[in-house]
Amino acid sequence: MNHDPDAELVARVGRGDRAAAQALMARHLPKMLSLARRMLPGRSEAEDCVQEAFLRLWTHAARWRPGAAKFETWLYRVTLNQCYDRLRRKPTLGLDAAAEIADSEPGPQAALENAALAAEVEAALAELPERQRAAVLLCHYQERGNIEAAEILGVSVEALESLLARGRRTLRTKLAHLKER
Amino acid sequence: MTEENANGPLQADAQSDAEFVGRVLSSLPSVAVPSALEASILAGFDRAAAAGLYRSWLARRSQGMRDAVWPGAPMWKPAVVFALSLIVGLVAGAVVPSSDVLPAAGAVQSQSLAYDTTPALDLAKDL
Repeated sequence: MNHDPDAELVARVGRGDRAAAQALMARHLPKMLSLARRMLPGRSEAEDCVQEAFLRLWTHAARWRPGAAKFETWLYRVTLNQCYDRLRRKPTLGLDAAAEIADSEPGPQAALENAALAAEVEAALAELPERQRAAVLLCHYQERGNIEAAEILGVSVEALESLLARGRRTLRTKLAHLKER
Repeated sequence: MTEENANGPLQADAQSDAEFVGRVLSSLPSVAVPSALEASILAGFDRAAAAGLYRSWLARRSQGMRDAVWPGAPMWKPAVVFALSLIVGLVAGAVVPSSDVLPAAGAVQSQSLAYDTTPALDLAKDL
């Protein structure tokens, strides 16, 4: 079995160790938040979603038993499920929300210059079906391998590849005009 | 045309799509983590840890009481016995009449009469 790099920290969190909680948060929060921000139409919703996922972590850490699945896989699955729940509760806001996300992002100078491009990409992503969006984000934005992404999504690698192929094709069709830039 | 040759253009398309998507997604700005969010998540940890400590204290207390009542038994056993005793007690209390309401078996009913007091009978009025 592969060594789970989070196992020790999770065990310490289960015993109420605040420093371990802080370390676990520092390790995973940025990627979890960026995934939630690209999955959901609003910033506050993404933050709520990540907060809820961490609350699950704090309450389940004492019962966590290292097994076949890596802790990180479980954590990202919880985050994605929180995103799906929110997407089902509220209709997607679409282009306006995507533009708002890109504009309000306090990123580096180069990112600010590309705000319009980012808004277009955000909008195209927002229009993808949620599972295709999650597959594309996990593999291309978070640079996870197919096996890991399939585990997070709870699907087979073949199903993931199918989701990816459809998602990429749709994105390319929608953003074809960006090709020349 | 062999299947391999037929799949060639499809694979090239898929590869090209993947590269394109990788390129456009890299244009997305990075997401900064607000410090308020970090603080809020850690506050959640503090609350969960406090609740966990209370739960473990409660679990230790209930373990102590359980061992005093029925050592080694799982929690449900003394709870079931206690619940059954309570039910039997309540049913008995509701169905079986109390002994101080009924006369005891073989008891002689008596009435006392005092001769040195004025009779309650008023001849002028009652006759």
